Amino acid sequence: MTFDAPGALLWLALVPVVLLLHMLRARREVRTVPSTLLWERAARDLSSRIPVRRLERSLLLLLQLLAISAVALALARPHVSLPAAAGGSIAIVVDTTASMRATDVAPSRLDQAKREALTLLEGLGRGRPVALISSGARPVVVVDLTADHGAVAAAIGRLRPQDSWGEIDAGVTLALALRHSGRPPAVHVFGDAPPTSPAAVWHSIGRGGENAAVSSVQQRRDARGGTRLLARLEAFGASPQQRVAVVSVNGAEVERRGVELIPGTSSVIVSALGDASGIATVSLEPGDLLASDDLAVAAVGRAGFPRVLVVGGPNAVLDAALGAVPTGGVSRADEPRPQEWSGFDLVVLDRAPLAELPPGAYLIMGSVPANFPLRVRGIAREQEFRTSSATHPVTRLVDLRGVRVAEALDLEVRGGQVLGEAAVPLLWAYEGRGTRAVLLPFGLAQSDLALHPAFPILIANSMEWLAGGLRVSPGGSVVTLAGGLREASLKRPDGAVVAVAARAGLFELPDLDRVGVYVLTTPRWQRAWVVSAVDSRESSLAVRPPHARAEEGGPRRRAPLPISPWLLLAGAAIVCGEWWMWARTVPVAPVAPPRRRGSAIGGGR
Amino acid sequence: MERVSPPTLLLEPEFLARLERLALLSRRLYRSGTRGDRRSTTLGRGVEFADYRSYQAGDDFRYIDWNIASRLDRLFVKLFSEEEDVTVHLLVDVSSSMSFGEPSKLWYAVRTAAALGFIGLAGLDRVGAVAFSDRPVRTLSPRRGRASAFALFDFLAGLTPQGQSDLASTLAGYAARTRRRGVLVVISDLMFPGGVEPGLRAARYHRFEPVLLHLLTEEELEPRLAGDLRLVDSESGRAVDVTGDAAASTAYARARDAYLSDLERLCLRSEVEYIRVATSVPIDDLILRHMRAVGLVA
Repeated sequence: MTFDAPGALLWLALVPVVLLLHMLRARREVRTVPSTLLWERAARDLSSRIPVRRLERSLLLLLQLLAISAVALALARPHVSLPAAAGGSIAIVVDTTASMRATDVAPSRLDQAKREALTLLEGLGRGRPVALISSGARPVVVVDLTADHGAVAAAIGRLRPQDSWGEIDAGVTLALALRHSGRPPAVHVFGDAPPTSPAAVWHSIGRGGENAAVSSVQQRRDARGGTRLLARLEAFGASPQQRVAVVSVNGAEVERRGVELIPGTSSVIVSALGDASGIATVSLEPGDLLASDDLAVAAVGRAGFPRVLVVGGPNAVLDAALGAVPTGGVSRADEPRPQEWSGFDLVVLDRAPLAELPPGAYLIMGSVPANFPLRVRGIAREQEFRTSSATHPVTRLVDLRGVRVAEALDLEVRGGQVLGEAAVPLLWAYEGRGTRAVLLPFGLAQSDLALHPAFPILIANSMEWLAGGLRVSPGGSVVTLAGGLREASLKRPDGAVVAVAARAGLFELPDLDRVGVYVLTTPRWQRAWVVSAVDSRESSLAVRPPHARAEEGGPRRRAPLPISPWLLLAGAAIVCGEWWMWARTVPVAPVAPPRRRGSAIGGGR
Repeated sequence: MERVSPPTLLLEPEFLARLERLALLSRRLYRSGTRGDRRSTTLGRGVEFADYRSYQAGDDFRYIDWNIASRLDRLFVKLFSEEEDVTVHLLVDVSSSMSFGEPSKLWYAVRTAAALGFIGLAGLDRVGAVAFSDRPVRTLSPRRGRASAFALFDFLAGLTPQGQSDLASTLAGYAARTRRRGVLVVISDLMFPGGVEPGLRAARYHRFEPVLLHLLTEEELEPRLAGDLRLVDSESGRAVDVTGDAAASTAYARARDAYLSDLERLCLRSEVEYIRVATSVPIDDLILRHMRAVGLVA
């Protein structure tokens, strides 16, 4: 028997406490009797006067101790491993994260996992329910519990790896949530990451090996307005590795550089790209056991910055601020027509009358969309910023104190985050439901904000934060406006093109699970999202030992049986029984009747 | 303190009618100044012939048996047993401990005393009563005649529980002050820390015939206690800590049996009539059945 929370066994310390309390004399009930003459004589034989009493056989005490022990053991979450019941259901969890692409076992870890899963499947009795779960960035039930083993085998064959990072425990949790006849299935995990849950049997995949990775790549502007590409390289393994880093833009090699990568440290290479614009890649040569993390992608130049649409009247101050930050181009529109915003990454709404805004990135000034978690209570006048957030990316290095606002919308905030405020909120940010927004409840003309040094920093920060949604982490999802269109095509990094249908006016793209550029093409516009690099947590190919409480699979296939519910049930039953006995008040052993003599009348039996 | 008497009569008329046919029995006969229904050891003017003796100077001529004189030519006087009364002293314990029980021990004692007193008065005995705790609290001087029953009942009905009890000093004082010897009926729960022996010894010394009527409630005989208790003495206020468990029950039974055995042995040794009665026994059963059985009434 093992315990998930052995610390809870400390509650067993209550057992001696209860014993001590039982030995200590309770406060006595005072009862007046005709005479204590006989009791005084009887007390000479008793230990009643001792402040502690010796422990006697007491059913109530025994029940108390049993109840405490049962609850303490239950809190420790014990379980025993029993041979998996022949008739029980099975959940097969296959790790499909980036590391499963590694080729330390032929042909790859994922293929090895598939083989072992199929072997397990073949060994199961006919009719035994089996489920298949793919545990990638998000766990997905590929096949729910079914007795159709053929369907499960086919689904196993169709599993493909992602470039994403994921928690294998999420897959185990999802598997345990499945039910067959009210009972969870026995969970078998096939992957290179050990599950922490003792409820899962882990079939370890992989032998380990050396690996190097491009863990991130970003562009920066240099002092002359040119573009610099920064790439971070890391080595995983035991010994230094000699590699060649190749930098390309739009497929043309720009730079080739030899690097020595020391395990445990990271190296950064910087490439000057000038005014180049497009898709830059950084790759490592020669290839290693995990090819997918040898490549990182970034949009550089204008292509790497958001295309901005400003909706509203002329505003020289805003124009100047937008001109000072890198963008992929700034367009203007007088009226807000959301159906025309599909080709833009970011929309600036300058005192534009608004109804509801579709998902997207917005910088809003002087107005409030109807579908935001805000309500306008009225107009607040003569406000002055008193505080601003020191932690949010939008207000980083921004000191808004002293900024005066002549007239602002008085907001009642029901969500999002207030980043700056006076008596009323004056700067608000929101992220959710496919939308990122920064909102100033006043126009620039109604404030001296533009005269403060904080203004251009605030605009730059806002643009960077709002445009951050363009960079998608592996396995992330994207929702974008359909702009009145019904269908679009998505080109994946591997060149495959999939059709995407609009639903409720939105294109919901399938998970972007490969490193590279995803391009959504419609008859009227084209947008791209970049999945930059594999998460470095997936790059280590070292073989990891199972967690202490988890069990590694193999010939012993055992199913964990939690005991906690039974212990809790027993504890509750004991408490109820003790309460019942207490309520009945255990009667004292009766005093034997006196001996009858000739002169004794009554009072005896 | 409340009077003991409940709104009903002390004794029911039917019960009184049955008591009239009873008489108190005494193992000894006492000299009294008044002729009664009880045969005295004194030979004198009674109606029941007892013996002859030779005439002596000064004898009443009326008691000379002339038939004997004519036949034997000698003078003999007839001796008759003189019938005398006996004094019954009813000592009722009215200490605080007597207020316990259902019915209370004092109520039971009062009714018992009333019944015994009525029997005595109906038999032309003298009956007196004393209510005592650690000393005589109230006293009804001995009196004769059926009419005195009302005074006795009034006296008994007015008793209230009070104070601590001390039989030894009460009995010693009472026996020393009282000239009329007789039956001394002590009705009490006998819960005296000082014991009863000194008092009984004093009564015997003064030639009283003590009868101990020991009243106990069922709760005192077989207490049923549970849990941790502090028992407080109703008279002395002394406290005893007791845990109501099997051990306590056993110890109490042992102490009770030892106490009762000592009492019985003492009474046997001192020639004192001892009757222990539980207050659950009906009064009429006690008087008409049990006291007859032990020979206290007939």
